[in-house]
Amino acid sequence: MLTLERVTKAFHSGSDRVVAVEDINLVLDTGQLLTIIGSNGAGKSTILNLIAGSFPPTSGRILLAGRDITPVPAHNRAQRIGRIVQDPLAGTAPTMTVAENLALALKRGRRSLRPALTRRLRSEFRDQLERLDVGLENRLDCAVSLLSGGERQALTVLMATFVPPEVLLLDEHTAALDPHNATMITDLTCQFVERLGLTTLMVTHNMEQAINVGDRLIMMHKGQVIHDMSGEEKRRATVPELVKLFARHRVADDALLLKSPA
Amino acid sequence: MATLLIHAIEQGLAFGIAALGVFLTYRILKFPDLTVDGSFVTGAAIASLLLVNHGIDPFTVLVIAFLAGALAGVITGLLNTKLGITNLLAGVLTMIMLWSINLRIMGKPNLSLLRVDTATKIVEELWAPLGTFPVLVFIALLTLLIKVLLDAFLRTELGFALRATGDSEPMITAHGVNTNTMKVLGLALSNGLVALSGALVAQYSGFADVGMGIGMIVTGLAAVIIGGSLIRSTRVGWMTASVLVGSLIYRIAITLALRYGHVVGFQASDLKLITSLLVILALVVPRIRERRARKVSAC
Repeated sequence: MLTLERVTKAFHSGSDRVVAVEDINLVLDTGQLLTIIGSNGAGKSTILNLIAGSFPPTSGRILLAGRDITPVPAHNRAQRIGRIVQDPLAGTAPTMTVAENLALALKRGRRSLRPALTRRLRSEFRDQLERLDVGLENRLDCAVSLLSGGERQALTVLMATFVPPEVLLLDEHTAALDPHNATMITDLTCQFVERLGLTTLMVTHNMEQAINVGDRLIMMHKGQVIHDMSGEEKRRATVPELVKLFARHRVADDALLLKSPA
Repeated sequence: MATLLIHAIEQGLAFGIAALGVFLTYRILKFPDLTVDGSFVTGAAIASLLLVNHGIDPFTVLVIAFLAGALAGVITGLLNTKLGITNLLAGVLTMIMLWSINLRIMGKPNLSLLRVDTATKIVEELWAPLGTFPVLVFIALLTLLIKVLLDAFLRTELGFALRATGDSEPMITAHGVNTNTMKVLGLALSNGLVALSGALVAQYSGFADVGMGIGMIVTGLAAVIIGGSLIRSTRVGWMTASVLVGSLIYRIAITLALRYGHVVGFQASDLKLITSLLVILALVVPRIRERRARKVSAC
């Protein structure tokens, strides 16, 4: 179970202060797949960064399986939290080969002086790559920089779940891909998440994806959760409905702006 | 001419160890580390001091020089990762600090090793009956041993993490590796190798001088870049081999330039100018070539 307790994140201070996430409470059950939508600057990515430990919250606590992980640095959290970002270049080591990248993903945390790649591992990698169904199993010794964006992101999905993490963070991980590859990666991700029963947070710009994927959806606006739906409500939700919900909040904002004394 | 070439090869291999160090930071970690100008001398200075004043075995001295260089690398690493000083400046600061420290170690700007038994002298006496070029064989074996050990390290889990740190920091952080630790480790190994090279070169040339490290970074880069443009590979073994080949070619070219350069008006003092121009050329040419033919090789 992942818990965010009254988490606030503000960047800069004084007159430049920008509140990216404001006093958020969120409880995510084990095995739940949560999709997060919201306008630009709503704080979606900030939430993932806070969970990953890229920066500390200004206030509040983050708990994983009941333990406070707020002070734990990013590389230590990575032992329990997996992450895939939008840029397919950021999830892999480009000058290293497919097999070498997979070997890197075999461990979360401390590394030893044992050889990283063995013949046995290579054949295991080949089997795993076959599951991706993108033909990477024949390109084990190919530098990752020579793969296409879709192939790289597919590899990243496999790498992020190779050692199943307690929480998987997906930060618009299909946004940089063409529609065909985006669908392929979404399907692949769902398949892995379901099979491994991973607790997952997926940030997306694509409302249809947000509705179709997962069992809970939150909508964010200006650093706050403005709607939280799951179960029957989410199953019945449609894109126009979500747009309408969005619009209502934006109108409310504008109204507030107009009313405020000049 | 033949002896000239033999000397060039010996030097190419001895400096090749330092080039492997530069390769480790510049190519693997993508950290342009200027510490090497100082740590090369630190290796030479410590080796000379221990040989002259303490009579320590010349082979053990190489190991001690490695450790001293590693310490210098750690300092640059901590300046960068813990104090947040940019990589170039961190290297420059350590390099300048080492200038004073190297003078302290030696006690004077120059130490002669003519009267002590250096590794190369011992090898010459011991192996002379065995072969024609004992010193060449010794340096070649030592350099190859270091290459093989470095290759083996870069193929371990830790070595993979080091390579990934230079490749993509967010990626390897996401897999639970502390990139700061990796940088410090890489800098330590690199400068250890550079100092070992300095200790070897000092024994080979029979002296240590406080200025012998000036331009070491460019010499190392020259080897890395020349080798890298001749042998293109993502395989660790080929990459380190290319560095040694680059170092050999560079040394032979320099030897020839020093020997016959006067014909076209070169002086020995032009060496650093020419080396730097060579590195600039080697850096620019592949880019122009790339721009001309933007073709991604199929895999």
